[in-house]
Amino acid sequence: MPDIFIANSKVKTQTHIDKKSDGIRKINRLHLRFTRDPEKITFQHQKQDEKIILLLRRHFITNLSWLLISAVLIIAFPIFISVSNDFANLFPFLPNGLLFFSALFYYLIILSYILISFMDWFYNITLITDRGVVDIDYSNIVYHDVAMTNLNLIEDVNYTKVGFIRSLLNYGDLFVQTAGGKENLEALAVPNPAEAARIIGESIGKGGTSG
Amino acid sequence: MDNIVQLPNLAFFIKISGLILIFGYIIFTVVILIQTITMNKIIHIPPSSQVLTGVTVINLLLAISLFIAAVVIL
Repeated sequence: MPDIFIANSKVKTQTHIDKKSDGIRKINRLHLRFTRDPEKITFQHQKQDEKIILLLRRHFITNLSWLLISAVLIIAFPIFISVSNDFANLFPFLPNGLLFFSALFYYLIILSYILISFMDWFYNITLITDRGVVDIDYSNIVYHDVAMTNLNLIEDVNYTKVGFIRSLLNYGDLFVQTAGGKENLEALAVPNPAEAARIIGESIGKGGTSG
Repeated sequence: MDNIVQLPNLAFFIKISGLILIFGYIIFTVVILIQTITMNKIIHIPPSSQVLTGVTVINLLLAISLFIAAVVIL
């Protein structure tokens, strides 16, 4: 007995899965969370055949503080102006248009604050490749540090997840201890630290000598 | 107090201070742009890296425009 209708339902299911995976892929492209096998990402000193297994970045929720501060600053200026509507009359000696330029300058400073805060999150990355671990630290626009270690130099991997919010949103700190006098690597507030530790743990000792 | 407020060069002093402040901000935005380009060389994440560079360039252009407008209008 031939099954005529099964083929249609299979096609529908496949289309549904394709649409869903397309959506997930679009979200993954932003790398807002734990990203396994990221595509098109390259880093300095990457070997020709070196493949990135995992991209770790601080959980997006850690951006909440500067997002809230920015939102408050954005709405604070119009509120201040509307409350003190006699602002121009208070200081008649001020040049014309000073208030307008002050407002523009104020919003430009907020834009810079948002940019710097975003870059602080965006460029603080830990990459796990099939050869080693690359830890990129970036802060306050003037400091950046890139540390690399081979997988065969990694001695131990551990993570901590302390606190209600971290347990609820499943993020924590990941520590990679290296052999010899090499500095230890750390990835702070990364999503799913247990899975990341497992992936690194499974790779320990597998890396080549370069990295 | 009135004498201080009515000083003829007070408006000029405020204008110069404002221009120096905006000029300092332009240098700051240049530093942000240089850092963005440097970090994009270290780690390249398309398309976010290009977007971020674009935003920093826009930020710099806005700062320069503000400086020029302030020189002309203030």
